[in-house]
Amino acid sequence: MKLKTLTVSMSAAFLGLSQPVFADETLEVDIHRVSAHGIGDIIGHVTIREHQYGVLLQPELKDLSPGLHGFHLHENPECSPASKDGKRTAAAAAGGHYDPGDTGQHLGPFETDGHHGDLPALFVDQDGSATQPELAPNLSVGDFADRSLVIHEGGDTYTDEPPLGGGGKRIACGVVTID
Amino acid sequence: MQRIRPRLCFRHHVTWLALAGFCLSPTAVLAYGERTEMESPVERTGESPVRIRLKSTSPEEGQTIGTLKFTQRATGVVIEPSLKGLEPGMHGMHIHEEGSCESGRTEGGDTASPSIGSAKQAGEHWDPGWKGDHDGPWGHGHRGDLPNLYVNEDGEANTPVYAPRVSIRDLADRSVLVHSSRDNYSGEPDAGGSGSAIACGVADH
Repeated sequence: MKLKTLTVSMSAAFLGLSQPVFADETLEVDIHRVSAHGIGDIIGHVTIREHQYGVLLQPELKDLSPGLHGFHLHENPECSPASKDGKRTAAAAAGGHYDPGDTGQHLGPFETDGHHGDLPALFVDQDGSATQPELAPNLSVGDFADRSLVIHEGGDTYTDEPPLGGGGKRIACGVVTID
Repeated sequence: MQRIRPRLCFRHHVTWLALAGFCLSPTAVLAYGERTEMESPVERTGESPVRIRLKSTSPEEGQTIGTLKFTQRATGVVIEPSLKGLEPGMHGMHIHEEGSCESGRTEGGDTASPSIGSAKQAGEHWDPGWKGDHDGPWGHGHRGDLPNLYVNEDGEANTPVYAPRVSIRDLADRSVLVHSSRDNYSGEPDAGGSGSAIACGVADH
């Protein structure tokens, strides 16, 4: 394992990468309910795995409302409430959608010139569970380090109409930590 | 400026030492340089999209329920549905091997039962490598296994999906079917439990 890490670091250094690459890593992220009051109970986890075509996300979540929910990688490793426009807001410390290209555009998971943190919307079954896997082609596992996953109350239009896909309130969040 | 990710170097299942050697070679630098332009599998290619009009498969209906628009990307296709009149929830979707949505006839001469889906002439899930496994859109089985289609409370499907193992050219002389239930992307139960066909379409050529 050490040899692998070394090889990756050497190659990464040669190619001028500023971030480590987690080619073989699988990450498991605990997801908590969030509100303007703070961080609540765990509602499950999301497993993140490197894949030939991007990153595969496997949610194992419960107690959510049925239907589609906006789901994004946010820029900060924080899920705490914070003040936003003068109002205490759930998981505002997570910051905005991860946007390494500084594009300022919400275009969904299948376009390359918008936020790379826009994930496919999360599907929740009639029983409140989310188990449907999804593929995020614009990301590598390394992109998830020191960021957060946020689930929104509403769906996602994969456009800025309404702004940021219309997901609205942040209802659940998990900080991605690397052991 | 977008951050550069050398997928070519890190996604191949070769031994790590060989990989390190390759990454340090001039070939890799060249490949890497080219890759910066096409780094994401969903980079657009500019090819004209293919639209498939879907019709309900139930014999008494048979009306058009909308279209699926397939856009070619660097690897795979993005499918944008514009459908209505479907049951809310997730629906299995697959490319079938024959370019027909006809109900056909059973050996006894009767028309196929609607309970098994009436687009019987569509054949099986497209499986060019004879893998024989139903393994979902990013697995190693049937290449015709597409991501589930999401239908909202109003019975409309308009959420795009990405199918990495398919090209728009694969749609020629084949059919696309939407099924009654969610596909669990495994062979257990049969066809991931996606149930009978509810809509079917063939590309116009």
